[in-house]
Amino acid sequence: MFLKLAWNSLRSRGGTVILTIVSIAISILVLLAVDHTRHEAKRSFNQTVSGVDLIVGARTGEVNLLLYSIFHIGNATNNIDWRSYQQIADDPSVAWTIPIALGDSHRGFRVMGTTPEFFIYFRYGQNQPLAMAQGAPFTDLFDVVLGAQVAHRLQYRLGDPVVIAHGLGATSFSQHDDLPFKVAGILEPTGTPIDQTLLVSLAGIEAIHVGWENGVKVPGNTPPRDTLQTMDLTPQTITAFMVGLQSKMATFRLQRSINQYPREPLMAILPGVTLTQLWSTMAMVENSLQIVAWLVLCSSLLGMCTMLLASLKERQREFAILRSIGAGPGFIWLAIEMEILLMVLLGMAGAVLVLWSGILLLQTPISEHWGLFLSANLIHPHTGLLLAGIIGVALLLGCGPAIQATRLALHGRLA
Amino acid sequence: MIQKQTDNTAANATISVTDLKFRYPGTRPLVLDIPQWQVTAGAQVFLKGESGAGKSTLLNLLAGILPAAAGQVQLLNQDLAALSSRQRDRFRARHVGMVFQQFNLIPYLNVVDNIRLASHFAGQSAEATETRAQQLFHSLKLDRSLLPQRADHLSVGQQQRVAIARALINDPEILLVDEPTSALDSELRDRFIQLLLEICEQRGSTLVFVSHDMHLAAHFSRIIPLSSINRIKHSHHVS
Repeated sequence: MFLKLAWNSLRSRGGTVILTIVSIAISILVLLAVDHTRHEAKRSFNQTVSGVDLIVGARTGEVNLLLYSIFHIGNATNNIDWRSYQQIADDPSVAWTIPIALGDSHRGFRVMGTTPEFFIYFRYGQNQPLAMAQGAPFTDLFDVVLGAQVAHRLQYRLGDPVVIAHGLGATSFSQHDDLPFKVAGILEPTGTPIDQTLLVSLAGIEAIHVGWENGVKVPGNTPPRDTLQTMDLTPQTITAFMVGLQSKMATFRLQRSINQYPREPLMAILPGVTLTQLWSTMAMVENSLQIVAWLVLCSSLLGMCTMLLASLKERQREFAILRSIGAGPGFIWLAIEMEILLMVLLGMAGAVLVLWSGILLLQTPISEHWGLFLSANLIHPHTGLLLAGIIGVALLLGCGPAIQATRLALHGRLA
Repeated sequence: MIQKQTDNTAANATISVTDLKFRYPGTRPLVLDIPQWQVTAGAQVFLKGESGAGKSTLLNLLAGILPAAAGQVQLLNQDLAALSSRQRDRFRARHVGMVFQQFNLIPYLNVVDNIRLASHFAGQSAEATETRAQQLFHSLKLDRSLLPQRADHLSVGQQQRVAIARALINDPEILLVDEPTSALDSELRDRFIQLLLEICEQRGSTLVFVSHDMHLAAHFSRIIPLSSINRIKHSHHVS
């Protein structure tokens, strides 16, 4: 009876009720979208790197080292000497290392020089290894492996030539155009910055810089391809390296000894710890977004209360009729709250539907532009709690009009 | 006619009012002060009063919608003040039917649901309601095709007749009616009152009919001016 009464009452006030529901839906949409994006961003963020015990680079801020080595954001302040790298890699507690050299790019995507170990040991997500969508990891000096988005955005296929640019700009005037690379493999999408990276061998990076002086190509100095193939292309320096240990027990000992490395200022970080640190620097943004979203919700719920309060005057007759046939004040209170519940549930359904279809529609563009893969699965462990919270706040705010209606029904002159 | 002047025997009275005083919350003066008034079972009373004389207030007090400031209202030998608010609402649903001047139905519900709502509060079964609604519709000369229509799509005359059906759906002993014909034209008015009186007689319901319109009084054998029972005089007080 409640349901029928509330439903028909809402239907009879069509226009204002629909506007109110739309306003509630929009605010719930904002709240859910903020929450979902936050959840997804945190998830993909924390899954950028996995199974790596230490990341070593030149001494700088911990967050900075993580940013340029894993997220490919910003630049290294300094490089590491190859001999330092080798000495640490030879430590008996070290199981494997992945050296990386950054600094070049291809049409705005970063090029990362590394070793084949990268394909064996690097992990992301829940300890997931990299997988090849096509082709194989690089074997030749001039082989390049593309991240999924690089291949997709630039429409590259296996065997296509790739000219690497010096520096990081999207349009660079100094191209390594005399020594083009060849696409040897394309990776499966990972939802990490690897998707936007081109991977070549360390020797390949070294090779394209032979004959360069102070970052400038000297014409006529570049040796031909065949000569390069036989040269010793062990790099002088690398940007950073990742370390996997035989046993986690050695983590802190090795970290300390790297931090106190005598020959040059090095730093080792635990990726998990630094990821948490980095995320907590975003807590402010995250929290203020959430606060704004809740405020938007409260404002639209208050709008709903205003609408209900404004309608009470003309509904006084209705309450009088209900009282005359035996409705108590409790019934009238519940009838108003039922109307609120219906409006909020409808708004909620609309918001979820729009968000869900919006994500399905925008999933691909978002992941291509920002590298953030938004899952269309809106159910998080705390979603239920969030929705219950919204209903709770709505019913609480609705007590205002409900009590007012009850008061009108009790004390109003009924005739 | 079963009218008899046996007002002083309270046991026989369906409605019994003693020392009733009422004022609206706030500082306003007393609206009603009725030392003694009774209505016998099955009586059909025309309560006459000018507008603003407190007729509607009295009906709301009799129905237990408004609580009396002082004194006693007894319906069917039940003191309303002795009941809790919830019990009073329940008592009203079961034993009292009310019809107002106009707008008696929830406009956005259809006729069936308006009637069902009333039986819902009285705790009646759906089947019993169905049968009784059919009988009432027949007696009130209402077409069954009105049942699924929205209440505000009916003509005023139809609405008022549905209002009687709704008021009588739980077979109440008491029917309180407040100028139900003010929105009807004179021809409809007389037919409406005839119907109302017939149906009350059939069912033996006690009827209190309040109005300022003396033309209608002709249909009643028993006419009581409100001023004769109320000590408060409303010479020019209009609320």
